[in-house]
Amino acid sequence: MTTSTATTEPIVELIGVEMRFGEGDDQKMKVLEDINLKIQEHDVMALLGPSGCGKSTIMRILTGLIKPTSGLVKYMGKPMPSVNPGVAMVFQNFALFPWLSVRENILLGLENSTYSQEEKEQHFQKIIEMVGLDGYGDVLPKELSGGMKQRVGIARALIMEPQILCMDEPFSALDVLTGETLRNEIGRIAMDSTLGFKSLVIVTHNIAEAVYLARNIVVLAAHPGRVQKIVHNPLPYPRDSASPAFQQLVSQIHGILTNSVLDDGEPPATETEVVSPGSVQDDAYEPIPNVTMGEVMGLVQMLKPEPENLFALATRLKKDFSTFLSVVKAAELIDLVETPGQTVRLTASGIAFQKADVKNRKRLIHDLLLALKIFKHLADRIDQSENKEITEEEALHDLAQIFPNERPKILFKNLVGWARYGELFSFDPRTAILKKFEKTYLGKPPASRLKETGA
Amino acid sequence: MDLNPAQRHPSTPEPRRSVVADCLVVVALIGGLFSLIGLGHEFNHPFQSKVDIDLSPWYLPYYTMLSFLRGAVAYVLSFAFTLVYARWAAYDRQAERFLIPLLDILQSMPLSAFLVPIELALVAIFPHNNIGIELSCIIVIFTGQVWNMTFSFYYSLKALPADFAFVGKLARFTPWQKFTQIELPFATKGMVYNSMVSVAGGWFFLSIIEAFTIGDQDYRVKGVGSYMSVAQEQKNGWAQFYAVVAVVIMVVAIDQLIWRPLIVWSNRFKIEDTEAEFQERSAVLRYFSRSWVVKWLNERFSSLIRRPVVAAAPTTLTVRQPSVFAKLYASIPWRPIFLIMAAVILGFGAYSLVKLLWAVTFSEWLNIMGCLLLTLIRVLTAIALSTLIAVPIGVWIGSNPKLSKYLMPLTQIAASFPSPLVFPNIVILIYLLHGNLQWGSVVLMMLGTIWYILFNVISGASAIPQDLRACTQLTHLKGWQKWRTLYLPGVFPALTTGWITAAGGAWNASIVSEYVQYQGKTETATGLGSLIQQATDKGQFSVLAAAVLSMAIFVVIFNRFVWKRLSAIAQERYQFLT
Repeated sequence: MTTSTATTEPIVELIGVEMRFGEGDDQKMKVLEDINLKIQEHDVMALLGPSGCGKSTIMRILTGLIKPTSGLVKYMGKPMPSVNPGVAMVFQNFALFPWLSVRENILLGLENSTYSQEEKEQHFQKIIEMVGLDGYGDVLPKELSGGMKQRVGIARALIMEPQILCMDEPFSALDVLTGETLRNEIGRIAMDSTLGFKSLVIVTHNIAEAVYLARNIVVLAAHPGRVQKIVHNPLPYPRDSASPAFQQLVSQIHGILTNSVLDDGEPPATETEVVSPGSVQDDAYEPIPNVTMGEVMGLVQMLKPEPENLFALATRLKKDFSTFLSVVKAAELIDLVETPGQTVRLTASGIAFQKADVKNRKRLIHDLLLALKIFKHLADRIDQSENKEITEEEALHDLAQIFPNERPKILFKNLVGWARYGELFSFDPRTAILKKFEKTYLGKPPASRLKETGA
Repeated sequence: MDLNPAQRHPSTPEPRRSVVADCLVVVALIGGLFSLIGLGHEFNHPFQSKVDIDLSPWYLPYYTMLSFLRGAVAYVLSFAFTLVYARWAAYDRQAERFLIPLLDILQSMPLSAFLVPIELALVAIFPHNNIGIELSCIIVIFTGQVWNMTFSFYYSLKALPADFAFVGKLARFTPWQKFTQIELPFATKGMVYNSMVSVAGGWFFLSIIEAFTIGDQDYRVKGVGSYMSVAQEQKNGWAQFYAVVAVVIMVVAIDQLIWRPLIVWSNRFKIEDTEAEFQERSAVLRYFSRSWVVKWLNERFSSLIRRPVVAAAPTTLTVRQPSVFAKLYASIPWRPIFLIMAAVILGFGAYSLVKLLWAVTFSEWLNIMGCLLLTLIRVLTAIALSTLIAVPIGVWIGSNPKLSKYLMPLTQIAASFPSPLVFPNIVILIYLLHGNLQWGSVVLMMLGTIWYILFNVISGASAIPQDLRACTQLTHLKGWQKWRTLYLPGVFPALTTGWITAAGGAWNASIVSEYVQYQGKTETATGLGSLIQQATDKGQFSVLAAAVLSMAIFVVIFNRFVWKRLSAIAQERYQFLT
């Protein structure tokens, strides 16, 4: 099947793909921007990035499960039919049919093949042995452990002999040890040329996993999702995660992710082959990351005035690196920390915060938040309104206008969370009204209320 | 970017502290009060041999309000019953063993079979005024509502996490505080949902009993049901149309003004801390929560609820002296008294029943069994046909989130519409099409049952995980393969739930769908439902008792051994993995 011309032809190619979600002009949010990717034969590609970078969306576009808003998806050089005929997929949460036995679940992959019954049986035996499910054929999925369930998912995908095997965070629903074992087996399977599939695409947020498996690592940036950099990984298989070369690649990718998350919009100076980071936003308004104030406070309390290496800190806190970066970014945004190079340290307000008591901490956060343009904007809106309050819809409308690439609802939720912590605004979800925070007292109602009810 | 707030929202200067909202609340309160007085007046009305209904549409709001109030009074009774019965069953282990199976039987009983005897008995007790008929209306609606709610409250109490009870103990809550602060909030979500279902069931019976006539006897009371039946008798097309519109408005208004706000409000009693990304919203709730009147009532009411009604919790560890009443209460041997009373009542009931049944001849029994079989065939046919229609439509709607967002509430409303109102119209249509009631009654049953199935299938289909859909696409399953692998097994648990409700509905409908009076004519289909009506008409009380009993026992058994078993299998085998 492989001819000399076909080796240069990518199996799937995404050209200028853009994706928008949501309804109505206000709510339309750009999740992917100008994605250009080629999946060649014999490639192992990892899609890596922080949450919200649209890595799973890219995978669903290349399988044909969803259509991009604009841009072209090519399969073997031609525009792709509705569902990619050369793809099989392994899902994060396994996607096993609970009413079908292990055997029936796996054989679903051959339901529409041209094989005879006998050939199907042969394939089934081969695959079930390879994934280590011998003797489990008649068992229902609910009787299996997570690791075993994912083996069924992998077997169902492999039996289809796909050109591209897609895996969407296949190990993240498993415990660490099981995930590790399965990852090694996937590494071995990826090398097995007797299996039908030619290329592997894996979505992950785990850097070591990407470096362990992939030949090409696509590092994505978020808001909107775009390709930050494609890192080629020339290390020979099987890879040793303890080797210096492996570690060096891991820390290189850490650097790229740090730049992408903490210096949003600015291309990192040291890198040369960076793909366009997309439109530079109005830098007056900063979108706030999807983290809670509690996480930010936790980080600030851990830090010392001396700079600390970001990666070392993330490892020490046992945090997923890109999640950790979002917390650092949030802390940097409200000026509690600064991040020179690959390090993080407290600012003067950060040090003041550490020393303050609870009341003064809240006061400090209150002032720091008001220094952010978006909080100032909402505070002004409340002040200028007739009743000194605005509705959630009004706030969402503003947010959608200011941040066209963010989900207004999530942004609003985070804003309210932060503002509550800093005693800046209060929000009542039942009336959906946002107003300035005022202290309420237990026992006797405030004087204003007494007057209003005429009591 | 222009972000001057003053210019940005020319279209949304919404009045927040709305005087209109205040006025609406006050008008609603006063309107409710006056209608209640009207209903009280109806109670004292002397009994007439013919119902006095004015077909002018101006009277219709009043009649609709009367019907609504009958439902509301029955609901209040149901609520009170629920609190007592469910708490008793939940906290008294010995009583629980007896109360819960009893509740299960009562719930699966075809209530409309008892409708006729209840009505006759109460009219006999109060022959001179409307009290008998009005009471039987309320009792029938009550029995249509209550079991469901009681079960819901009971299960909530049983599922109450022990930690909450400990908190109550440590804070030395009085029983009243425990009830209002722990038990009620915990049960609220389930109660709201089940109240919705219950009240919808209540309208079904209300529409039957308000329009209840048998042979020449007229037991109708003023209400939208009787308005409709008088309009049908007089072939007044416009009046019939108005009545249907009035009922639709009532059902929609209850949904929008009561249930939606309650659902949104009850979301705050969710025990999980996680916040769903999709939150249910109610414009009505938001509108009225900005009214000062509501705020004021809310403050009064909530302070009342939080007050430790029985006694202030002691601040130090002193043992409270039980009051004289408490001592007296504790000294009464409640359980033996109750058991003896129950035994006497049951014994007397059994004795009278046996006496009645003794008179039933063998051939009459044979006839009853034959009729039972015929009605069973109709019920099963109605369910099978409803399933055939509702499953493809339901899967299609449920697979399309945008569609199901709009159509799901619509099916709920359609399910609440009391279909017996339009039975005579449908029968005319059936005869126009040269059909007859023998099979036509299946169509009448389907009018009530199909919505339950549709509703459940939609909710089942929309719960099918996205990944499984993606998987069938990527394995290139087509047509029937897709139905066999994904859709049919995926909606099966929901479908069985729908079947249980639908079967109950179909049995209930058999009484009115096998015996339809329209334009002075009476059409019957051979079956247990029409047998019950005819036995009443001819005064054959032995046959009536035998038929009612047979239907009740058969339905309970069929429910237990067919529907519940099917549902258990479905839950066991076809539930999605979490």
